[in-house]
Amino acid sequence: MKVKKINNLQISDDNLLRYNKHILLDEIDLEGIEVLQQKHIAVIGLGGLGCPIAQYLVTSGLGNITLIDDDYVESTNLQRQILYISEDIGKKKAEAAYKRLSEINPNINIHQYYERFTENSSSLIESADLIIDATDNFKTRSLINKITLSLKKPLVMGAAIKMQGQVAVFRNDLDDMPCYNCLYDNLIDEDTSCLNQGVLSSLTGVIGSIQATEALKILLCFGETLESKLLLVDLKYSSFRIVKIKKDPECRVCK
Amino acid sequence: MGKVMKLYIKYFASVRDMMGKDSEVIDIDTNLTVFGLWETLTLNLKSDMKVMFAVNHEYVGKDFKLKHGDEIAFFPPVTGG
Repeated sequence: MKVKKINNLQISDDNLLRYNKHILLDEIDLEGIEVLQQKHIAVIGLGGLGCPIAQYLVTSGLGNITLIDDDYVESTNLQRQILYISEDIGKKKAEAAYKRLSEINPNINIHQYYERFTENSSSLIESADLIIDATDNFKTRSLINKITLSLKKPLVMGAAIKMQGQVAVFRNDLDDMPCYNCLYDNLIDEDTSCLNQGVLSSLTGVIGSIQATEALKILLCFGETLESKLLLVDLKYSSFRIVKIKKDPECRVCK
Repeated sequence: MGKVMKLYIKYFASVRDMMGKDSEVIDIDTNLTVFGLWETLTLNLKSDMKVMFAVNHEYVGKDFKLKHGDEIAFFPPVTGG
């Protein structure tokens, strides 16, 4: 592969073309492409949110991506989980996603784990620079928050149900910042998870795409992120709102 | 009866569907918490909908005390994906 050296940066001809529209952005440019090639993001959950997140991170030229999911592709997933095709039904999501993402961009190191994220999973994400929570239940979200606090990793959280969703960035890598549990404490999942409720197909695309965008902004240090803010999205009424999150001095997880 | 305060209320997402409106302005007695306001507003709805609160664009807990002129947003928790 031919490699061009521009201001000591090394980017192949293929990648100059592949990432051309990012290189043309002042906020990313050639330096940003090289920074992304050094970065590693872990995506936990490969459902409605995880699919667009992983797809945009892979097309953007991230160096390493870790995918964690313990589920199999089902027919009911195909309406919104855009990495999977009909013939993937019955396959492990982590493996099906790995295959599709490798075809989309063979330059990325993809690490896939078919397992549930538990108390013992911190070794899977400890080498990542940033963690994206694309799971579907409070218990796992709370656990991801706790582990990212102990590993000191920034966390991009997204959630979606019916036609509404939320995105927030928790700087669990920095001191004295609010965490997920400052916002959500002791939720009962029956009230909020998607098992028995509908989800608009494009909603998970919107929320997942915003999560991927926040991750890229944090790693490339441009713009303004949803750090310590909760974005509320209501697609039914095309309504958006940002709410500030303060550190809860009584938070049982981060105080 | 105590003093009356004016509150600007916004309903978001499924809370908006339940309330059948996106906003309202009300005059109400002082010494009210944000959860107390929610109970008052939903007294006749017999709903057990879980709700979260933001006052003046900042997330607050249910015991937050309201004051004249506050803007209160009610929105649902979301954990699906």
